[in-house]
Amino acid sequence: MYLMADILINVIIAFLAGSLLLGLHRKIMARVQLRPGPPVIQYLLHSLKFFFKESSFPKTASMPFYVSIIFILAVVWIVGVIVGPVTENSLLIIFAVYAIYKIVEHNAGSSSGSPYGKMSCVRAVLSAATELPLFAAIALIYFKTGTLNISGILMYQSIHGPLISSIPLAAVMLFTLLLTKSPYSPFAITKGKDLVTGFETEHFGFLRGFLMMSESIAWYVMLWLFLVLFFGPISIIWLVIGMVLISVITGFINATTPMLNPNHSVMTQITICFVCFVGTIVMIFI
Amino acid sequence: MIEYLDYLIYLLTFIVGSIVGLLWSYKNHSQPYTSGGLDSIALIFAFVGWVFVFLGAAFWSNFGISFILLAIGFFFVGFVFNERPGYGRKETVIGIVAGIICYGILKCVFMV
Repeated sequence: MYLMADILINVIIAFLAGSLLLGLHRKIMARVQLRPGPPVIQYLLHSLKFFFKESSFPKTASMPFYVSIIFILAVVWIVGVIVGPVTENSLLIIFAVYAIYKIVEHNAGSSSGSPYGKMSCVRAVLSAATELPLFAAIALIYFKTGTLNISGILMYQSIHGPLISSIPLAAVMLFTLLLTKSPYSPFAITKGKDLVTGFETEHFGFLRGFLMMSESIAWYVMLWLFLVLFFGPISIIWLVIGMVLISVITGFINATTPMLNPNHSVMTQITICFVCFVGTIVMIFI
Repeated sequence: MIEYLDYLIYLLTFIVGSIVGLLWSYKNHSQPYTSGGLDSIALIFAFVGWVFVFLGAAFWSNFGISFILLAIGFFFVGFVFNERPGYGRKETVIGIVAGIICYGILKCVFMV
């Protein structure tokens, strides 16, 4: 009973806090580009607005896949909340959540029948390279701590100090993943502006509402994961400060960096991953 | 007691305050983005909000007092922070400075 209430509360917190952080991210980007930008709450208001707008479905959409894939996306990130903040379970499940997210991105694009969605679907396959930093970071954390359980990693850090000081390059890798996940990222090839909004282009009304809700929850989960994995058992105040800081930093980077083309994006991610992985291995074993 | 319920309430009061502030500022300010003087009502709200938030942090060990202060504080903080673009920035900065001063006084002088 308490577990169900805990899950519900954490999912609502993830949605609301994630929306506010994405709103802040957008505001920072606007201010860097010398625009006033929308209020921080605008992203949340947009998400809620779409639930009450008229929903229409393209004739080319492959039903019921076109609708169900959006619910799968929401479920995937709710599982992320359960595995992360609620139960502090295995990192492998988080990896699976991210892998399924990429599959959902791929299928959301292909199911709409739109050429923009289909191109985004092809790029989603290419952008599987974003999973490399996550997988490499998880492997390095395992080498260092000897466990894949988040609560075990927290225990390790409470004894040996935060992992950011012992394997900083692994943190750089996971930060690359965060950067990729942030809106208007240089690595966000599936939502490049040449594809309108990529796999989201043909999703309207409540489907877009669900998409935005999932994105908010995803942003919160990824930030929580980064802070917990590399800074250890920190208080809620430091968690909030950390989330705000990372949103501000990614906002700065995204506002000043153009979107890379797919080939450059993938090669940059793989290069960062390779350099950081080798560097961390050297730091651990030598 | 279910964990994190109080944090959800703080978030909700901040969001409700933000929506009320946004509607209020659109009603009261017709100019889209100006760099005018201070708005007295927003200044009072920002002052009360940030002082309450920092006091709530200072009294963290006393859940009852802290909860009430933070819930009310976040409402007013959200009210000013999320006014329409171009408004509420100076008031927010003044509020944060006032809150930090109050927090410092409580911690250093009264040893709360």
